[in-house]
Formats: sequence, structure tokens, C-alpha cells
Amino acid sequence: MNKFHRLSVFVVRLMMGLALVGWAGMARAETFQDSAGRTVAIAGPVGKVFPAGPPASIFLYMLAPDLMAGWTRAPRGAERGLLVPAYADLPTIGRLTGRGGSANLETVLAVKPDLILDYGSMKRTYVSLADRVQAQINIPYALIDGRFEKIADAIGAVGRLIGRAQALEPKAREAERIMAELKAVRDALPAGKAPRVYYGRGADGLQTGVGGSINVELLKYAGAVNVAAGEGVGGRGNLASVSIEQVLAWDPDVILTTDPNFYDRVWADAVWQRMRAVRAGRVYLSPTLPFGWFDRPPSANRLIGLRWLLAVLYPERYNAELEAETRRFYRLFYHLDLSDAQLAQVLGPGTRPGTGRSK
Amino acid sequence: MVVRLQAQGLGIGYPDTPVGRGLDVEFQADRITMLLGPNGCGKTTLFRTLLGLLLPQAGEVTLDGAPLAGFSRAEAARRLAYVPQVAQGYFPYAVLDVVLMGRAPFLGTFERPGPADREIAMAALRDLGLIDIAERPFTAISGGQRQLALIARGLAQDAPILIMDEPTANLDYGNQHRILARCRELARNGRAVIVSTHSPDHALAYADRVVVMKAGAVVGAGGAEDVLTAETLSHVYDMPIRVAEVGGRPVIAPA
Amino acid sequence: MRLAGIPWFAAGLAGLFVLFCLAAATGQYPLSVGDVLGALWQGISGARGDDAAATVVLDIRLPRLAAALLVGLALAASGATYQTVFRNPLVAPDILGVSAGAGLGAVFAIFLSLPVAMIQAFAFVFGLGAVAIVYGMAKVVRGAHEPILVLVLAGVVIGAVMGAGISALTYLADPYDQLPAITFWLMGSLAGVTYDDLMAAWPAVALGLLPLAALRWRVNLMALSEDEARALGVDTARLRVGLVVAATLMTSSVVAISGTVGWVGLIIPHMARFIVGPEFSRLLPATVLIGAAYVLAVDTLARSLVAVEIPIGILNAFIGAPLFLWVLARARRSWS
Repeated sequence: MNKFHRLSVFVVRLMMGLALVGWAGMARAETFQDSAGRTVAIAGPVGKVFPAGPPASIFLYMLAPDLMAGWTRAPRGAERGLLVPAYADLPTIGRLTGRGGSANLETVLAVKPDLILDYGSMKRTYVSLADRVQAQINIPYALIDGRFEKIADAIGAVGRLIGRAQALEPKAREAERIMAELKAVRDALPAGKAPRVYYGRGADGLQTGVGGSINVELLKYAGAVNVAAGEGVGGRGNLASVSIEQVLAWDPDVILTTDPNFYDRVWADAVWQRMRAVRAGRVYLSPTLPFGWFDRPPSANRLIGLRWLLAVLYPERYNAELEAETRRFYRLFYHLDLSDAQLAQVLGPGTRPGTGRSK
Repeated sequence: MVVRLQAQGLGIGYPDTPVGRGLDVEFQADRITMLLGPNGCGKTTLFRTLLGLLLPQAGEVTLDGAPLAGFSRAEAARRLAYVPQVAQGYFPYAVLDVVLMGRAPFLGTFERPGPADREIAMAALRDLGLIDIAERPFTAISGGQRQLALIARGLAQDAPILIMDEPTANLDYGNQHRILARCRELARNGRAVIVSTHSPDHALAYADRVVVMKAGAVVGAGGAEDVLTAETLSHVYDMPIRVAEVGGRPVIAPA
Repeated sequence: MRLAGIPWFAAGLAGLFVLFCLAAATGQYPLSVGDVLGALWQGISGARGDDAAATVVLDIRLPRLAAALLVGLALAASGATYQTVFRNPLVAPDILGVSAGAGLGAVFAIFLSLPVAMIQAFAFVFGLGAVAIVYGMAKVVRGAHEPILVLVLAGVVIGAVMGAGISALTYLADPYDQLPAITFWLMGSLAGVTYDDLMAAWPAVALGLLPLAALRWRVNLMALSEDEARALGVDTARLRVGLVVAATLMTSSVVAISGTVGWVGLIIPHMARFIVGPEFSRLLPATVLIGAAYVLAVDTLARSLVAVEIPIGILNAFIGAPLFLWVLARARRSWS
């Protein structure tokens, strides 16, 4: 498959080369405008895309895995079991974005991508990085707005960039459908009764996303209140450590976590047990396979995460068939027909009301 | 004459870098013996070997007739007191605290000095005229006072043998002579006092006996005036030196 | 400066008690002084009710306050010991690579997504392991060199290697999940301390502190040069190993529960020496008192200034650095 793919790319390139020789001057680069308003010129069909960071690599995997040049971070252990095997084995190419930027431009050149794709923040840092890289190695570098409510638009934008607008249409429509459904649910929520949620990270559950942190962004879309926001916490969204006394003072209605160690600890610890959420059994472990549902990384993987969040926050109102929705999402976006065992692995104990020790 | 500390055929130094060999020395009670020799001749190495801080490479050191190697560190410390040169690097201990450390060989591992030890330390301070600065930090007193304080610590150690490494280095003229006069007095109370010095004049003025070393060997031992001749000194320091007489006393000068 | 007798110790103890009571009444959970006293009474009388005040005071604040005291006294006492034993006033408890080793252990455990108890166990074992390697290295290299210098240099080298290991693991760690946890651990915090942590740490601290207390006079002799100390009948090699092991045990057992808390082991001994002088039988109790009070105060600030925790390492550097400069300026003659 891989070989065949490479061969086909080779043939395409060969034909492209011939075409260029034949009709020199006639082949014109097509220009696009990316989400940051930058002009990106792409000459000919896109056969390989270099994701600039983890959100981009997930987005790319969801939309066009065959174009992926590689992963920004090698998928590990259980994650690999929920990826299409051929793609799980793609090379690790490092990331261009972020503090620990580990991809070297020579690697990028050696990979010979037709396009570099970044998906996420449109902050000036990323725009200037894109401009610099594009000028330096002359490979088109497109920035796509990664805001949650823009997922359908982003799918369309990527579709146009890689020349697959039509093929990606169903995915964009599915994203729209999910968003619309979620909005309907949200609109039906009674006013003034928003659940107060604490999101505990780390093995002791005492790190949390404060304010409008990207880590807890989904809470907003689920109509819930992050307890670690408001006065005394600071509006700047980031991760911070809090004392257990503070969590006790907040006394949240629901506790969410991605850490199984913390999930286990919560039920055994005397102090955590004092909290309303723990006594009511409303502590939930967010699914994380193959990509996180709730927190990390902030990419389109969170679409299914929001559906899950509504299910755990409003079990009596929003009792959608999470399992069926999960299968549908994984089939369309993760290219995988979940077996029962795989589904059980994704939606393990504690991830839903009535499983594990969660109620 | 009681010989307290003795060595025969002593080899000093380290396995791969011998410093001296074939050294025969003896130190007697009631005597102040001064050790002379140029820089690097092995005086300090000899002292460290005599104190048992360095193992002999040959021969052995005998302390009161018994092999030094047979003594435990604390047993040796009760007989041999070491007064080092005043060095840097002390925390600002009170002078009394420094002197009290001389009581260490008499205290068990977990023991602290008691009133009796305190009395001994105070007596040593009184003896050396330091009682007024007993509570001052060691780092805040003059160089001469520090050297005296270290000698007081040696006295508090109450050992019959006192080994002093260049106690007059870094001191002004008056302090040099005050210290040496004290050393001679100490030797009058049954102690064997061993002092190294760079000044043959000091040896002529204060020593009962001298030992002269050069390049890891003893080149002369005996009464000061017998050993410190112009010939020996010229040979030892590699320069012409003469011994003149001023007011009936021998004085050393470059020729 | 030198204070006679023991009254300063009693005064210090009383001051520490007052500070402790103030800290017990401070926190994010709104409780009146009456609530706190009531909860404390419940704890003392053994008739525990099921109210929130009891949980906050007895289950959250008390273990945390006790941990702050333990961390402070252990780091300060081991700092004083290291400074005396190595005759160097600029030495801190992490000189032999304890903190770097413990950091690597904790980071490794976080990297493996292990629970809290295992993170602490890894920190402890790696901290001691680092010191064992440093000691082994110093033994191999020693000979013509000054043994203390070799030991300290070996500590620097191993510390650098452990630091590189930490960097490598942070580089490999999942940037969304593990990296923040690693960062928070390395900045030090007492936020999650429980009685279990205390129970694990205090026997090791006691085991380290007891020999220091028993040897409190003899430790002074280690401040002399090697030759002087041995000529005074001290078996310096054995005493040094014993003291270093005791101090290291204390450091690594508290670093395991608090993360890396810098500065305490460096500045507190100086403050204590400034007040009671260098004589170790006075220095040790003073250091223990001041160290315990200092970390208690800093941690109380860390948990009560704002709703989120201020990492104690950061607060410590901001408070510690100027304090150190002040002590340095005031006590120029502390060493020379």
C-alpha cells in the first residue's frame, strides 16, 4: 500500500514534470488565502503534507491520512491500537511550532512536502514562523484557524488547499451536524443551573486549567462553569497548581480528569470524599484514545469530546447513544470500524455515568 | 634525658612520590627542638608522618617507646598535639570554642565538653593572655592572637609532645619572639616541643636542639651552635652564609 | 555574636508556635478562628465530627503545616551540616546531586504515568542513588586530589548528568499531559501533602537528624582542616561519611514529598550563624527552628496569596535571593 502510494506519487510527479516541460509558462501556481490572511501559492497537486504541530497532525490524520508526511510525536502503546496500522507506522518528524520545536528545516526539506500545514492559534508567533519558514525553504505554509466552532470551516479550507474539497464535504457536513446538535442541546439547558466543574490534571489531580485556558475550553461549549475561573484566579488561561483546600472550597458538582491514577485516588482519599462531586459519584475519566477527547491536543478530536462532555454533565437530558455516536465518529474521522473490544477500550470504566465508580 | 618521640630509618612521602628516606630523628622531653630546611625539603611531610597522619614508607615512629601505629587516633592525640599554621577558612568560632576543640581526644564520640574541660580551656587562654578575647570570633582577632589561640588549643589538648608548624610565619617581629619565648617556657614543663622555622636566628636564640634537613634527608642534628655553622647553612640554603657575633651571640647573615 | 544559655531557643519555639497557629487559621477555605479552634479541639480530644472545618483543619492544613515544618527543618539542618563538613559556606544540600537525582526520579515516574506514591518513591531512590554514584566516583578518582574537592566536583558532574536526563525526559514527555506535571514538580509544592506522605517522610528525617543532634559538638571539628581534625583524634573519614549520609537522607526524603525547594538549605544556616554563631550545638537547633519557620511562612503565602498555588520554588527564589544578599552584607565576617 505504502509502496503503491509512493509509486503513484512518483508517477504523478513524473507526469507533472512532463507537463511542466511541455507547457512551460502555462502551469501557474494556484494561490489561496489562509486563515491568517496570508497568501499561499501551491503549484500542482499536493501529494505530501508536513504537519507543523500536534493539532495539525491530528487534523490531517482525520482528513487526509494518506498525505501525512509523518507524526509530530510517535503514537505510543494503546494509541497505536486505535490508528490505522499503516499510518501508525509513519515516521516521527518532530514539530515546527512550540517551545520544543524539534523539527529541523533540513528534515522538512528532506521529507519534500508540497505543503506545510499548521492548525490552531493565529497568534503572531505562528504567523511569523510560517512567513519565515516559507521564505527560507520555499514550501507553501498554510495556517488554519483551529477554533472549536470553526471546525467545519477549517475542514473546507484544508479541502481546498489539498484539492479535495469535494471528498471532504461529508466530513465538513458531519462536523456541522454535530455542532448544530450540540447547540440545540445547549440551548435547551435551563438557565442559571450550569454545573460547576473542576478539571484535575496530574497524578494528584491538583493541576488545572484556569480561566479561559485551552485545556478547559470545552466546558464553555457545554454550558458548564470552570470553578478555577473568576476572581482571584486570573483571567489568563493557563495551567496552574491549586491546593486541595481550594478545591474543597470550590466544592464542584462534577470532577473531570484524564489521569487514571487520580481517578482511582479520588475514591480512596478522605478529603476528596468530602466533596459533593465525589459523594455523588460524579467524577469522570475522559477518554484519551487515540487522541484525547477533552483536553489535549486542541484539535478536531474534541468534537466527540464535547458530545461526551454533554453526556456526563447532563445524563438525564442528553442521553444520546454515545456508543453509536462514537462508532460513527471513529468511522468517519479515524478511518476505523470500532470492534466491541476497541469500543470498550475507548469508553473504559469511569468514562461514563454508571461505569467504573462513576454514577 | 627522656626520649618521647623517635624515628629510625624513616621513609616519608607517598608510594609514588617519596619525599625522604633514611631519616633518624629523636625528640626529648624538656627540650625545644627546631627543625630547619629550605622550602620543599620535607619538613611538613615529616611532621605529618610523626603525627601519624601519613603512614611511613619505611621504618617506624615510636612514641614513648611504643610503635605509633599501635595507637588509636584518640590515644595518639592525647600524647601528640599539633599546632598548625594559621590558615584561612575558619567559620567565626569564638576563640574559646576553638580552644575547647583541644579537648576532643578526651571526649567520647557523642560527648560534649563539660565544666572541667571548659576550665582547662580557660586556663590555657589565661596562660597565653587571651582571656579577654575568649568570646571574640576567631576571624576577628589579629594574626598573632590567632596563632596564640591555636597554641592554647594545643595546651588544652594537654599532650606531652607539641608539634608546631612554623608558628612564626606571618607574624610581626615582636609577636615572633613572644611566641617563641612561650614555646621555650612550654618546653620547661616536661614537654617535648618541636617547632619548624625558616629562621636560623630563631633557632640560635631559642632552640635546645636543631635538626637541619635538605632534600628529604637530615644533614645535621644537635646543639644549635654546633650544627648551624656557616658551612652547613651555606650548603643547606645554596648560598654563601656567614655566622657573625653580635654582643656575644651568633647572628646569621648572607656573606 | 553569641547568646548565652538556652532562652533564645524557648523564645524561638514560642514564636514558631504562634506562626503555626496563624498558618493554621489561614487558607482558601473560609473558616472563622472559632471554627479552626473547634476543629483543633476535635483533633486533640479525639471526638471528631464530620464537619467541613474538621476536614479542612485536620486533614488538609495540619498535614501540610507539619510537612512545611519537616521540609524546612530537614533542608536547613542538612544545609548547615554540609556547610560545616565541606568547610564551605556556599554549599547547599543539593550539592551532591540529591535534588537533581530526586528530580530525575520524579520526572521518570511522571513520564511513566505512575501514581503519587510511586513518584515519591522514585524521587527518594534516585536522590540517594545519585549521591551513591557521586560517592563512588569520588572514591575512584581520589588519591592525589583533595577528597572534599573531588566529592563536590563529582556532585556537580552527576548533578549535570541528572539535569540532562530531566531535560531529555521533558523533551520526550507528552507536551499536553506530562510536561505540565513535570514542570510543577520541579518548581516544588506542598499542595498535595497528606498524612501518608508525612508518615513516609518523618522517620527518615528523624533518622538523619538524630545522629546530627548526638554529634552536635563533634561536628565542629569537621570545620577544621583535615590534618588538624585528625590530629585532634577525629576519625574524619568515618565522621564525614556518617554526617553526609545523615544529611542526604533528610534531604532526599523531604525532596520526595515537596519537589525541589531551593535556597532553604543555603540561606537558613547563614541566618542562624548570624544569630547564634557557628558553634554547631547552638547552630543546629537555631537552624532547625528558623528553617521550619521559614518554609512554614513561605508555604502559607504560597497557598493563600491567590486562589491558585504559587510554586514554592519561585516564591523562595524571590524571597531567598534578597535575604541571602542581606545576610551576606550584614555578616561579612561569617567566613574569611
